[in-house]
Amino acid sequence: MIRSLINIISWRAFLLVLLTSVLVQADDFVISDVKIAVTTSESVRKLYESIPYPSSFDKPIQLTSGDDFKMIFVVNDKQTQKGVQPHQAFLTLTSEKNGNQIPIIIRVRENGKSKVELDMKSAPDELLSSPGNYSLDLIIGTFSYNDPLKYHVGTLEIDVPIQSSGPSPVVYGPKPEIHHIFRPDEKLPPIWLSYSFMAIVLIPWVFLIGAWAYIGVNVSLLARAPESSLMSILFLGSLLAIEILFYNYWTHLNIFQTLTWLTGLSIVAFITGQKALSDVQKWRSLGLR
Amino acid sequence: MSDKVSSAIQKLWTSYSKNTPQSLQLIDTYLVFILFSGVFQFVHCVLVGTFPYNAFLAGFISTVGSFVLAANLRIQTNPDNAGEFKSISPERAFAEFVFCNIVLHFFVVNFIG
Repeated sequence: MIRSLINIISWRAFLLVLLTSVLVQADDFVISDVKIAVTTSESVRKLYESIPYPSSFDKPIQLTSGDDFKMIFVVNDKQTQKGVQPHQAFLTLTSEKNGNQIPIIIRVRENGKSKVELDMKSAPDELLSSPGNYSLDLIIGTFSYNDPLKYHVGTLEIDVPIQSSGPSPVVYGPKPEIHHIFRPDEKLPPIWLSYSFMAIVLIPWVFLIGAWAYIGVNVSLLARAPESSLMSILFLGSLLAIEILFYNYWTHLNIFQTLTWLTGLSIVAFITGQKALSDVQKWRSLGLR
Repeated sequence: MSDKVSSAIQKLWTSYSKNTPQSLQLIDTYLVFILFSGVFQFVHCVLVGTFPYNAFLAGFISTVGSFVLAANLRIQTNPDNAGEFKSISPERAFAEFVFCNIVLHFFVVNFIG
């Protein structure tokens, strides 16, 4: 019997120690010096109250269009009673009608002093289009603190004319489709101009053939020595074939086929050219040219 | 004043056609032909802009390159200059001219696109 008593007592003691240790380690926030003020659009102070934390403001705060709601408070650490700057501080307006939540981010200074303002002139659209009662809550949290704070400040009565604004703007939906317009093609000159210039550029060929005929390309030796004239003809023919190959390369061949043909034709051109030119050299040295 | 210039030109022309060997005259006409080809292409580019820029460049550079090669050939085959080019016979100069032209045409056809 004594043994079971000791067991019960020791189990309870253990639990008590555990709880107090948890409680001792708990970091908590404490809000102090809460003051709210409402000013109308004509800068007339409608409401100025000071609320003792942790109780809430009992009367609903009325806001019509043009009013300015301000709240100041100080965030303290419970243990040290000194001002702290939490990581997150929001003021949420929760609609009692449809549960919509509208957050307002609060900037807290390093000493814990903070000020939040809700100006009906620049309020978010969701607030302005749905009047009614909103529950006002202050939410404070920091990553290293285990227990965040949710403090019910009071109730806001938003009194704005109901706007049937049609379908509410979808904030996170698909945006309108973007139709990409490609850069328009470059403008080309008129086709008659291009054709006429093509003709103009080919005129020098006519001049060349005429001038060569006038000066007298001498083909007299071709008749006299048939076999070397054959070499000359073959040489010039292979050169012409190479030019035709280049034209085909421009139109439909690819580079590998072109290079294949080119190696073959250039070998032919080289051999015939060497023979033909050595013949010409022989004639020149013999004084026939 | 102007007739002095015209008589000078007349004299130049007669002297040229009498004293220049036929092969050099042929090359000279080829040079004039290439020159006018290039000039007409450039005029067309100035008129309508450089839209297919690579095509204009290919054509123009082909005329410039051909002109340079032909001028080179003329220099090398001129009998008056034979003293400077002992190792290169006119036939060899012509063969080099042909080879360089083929290479130039190949690159031009590549670039025309």
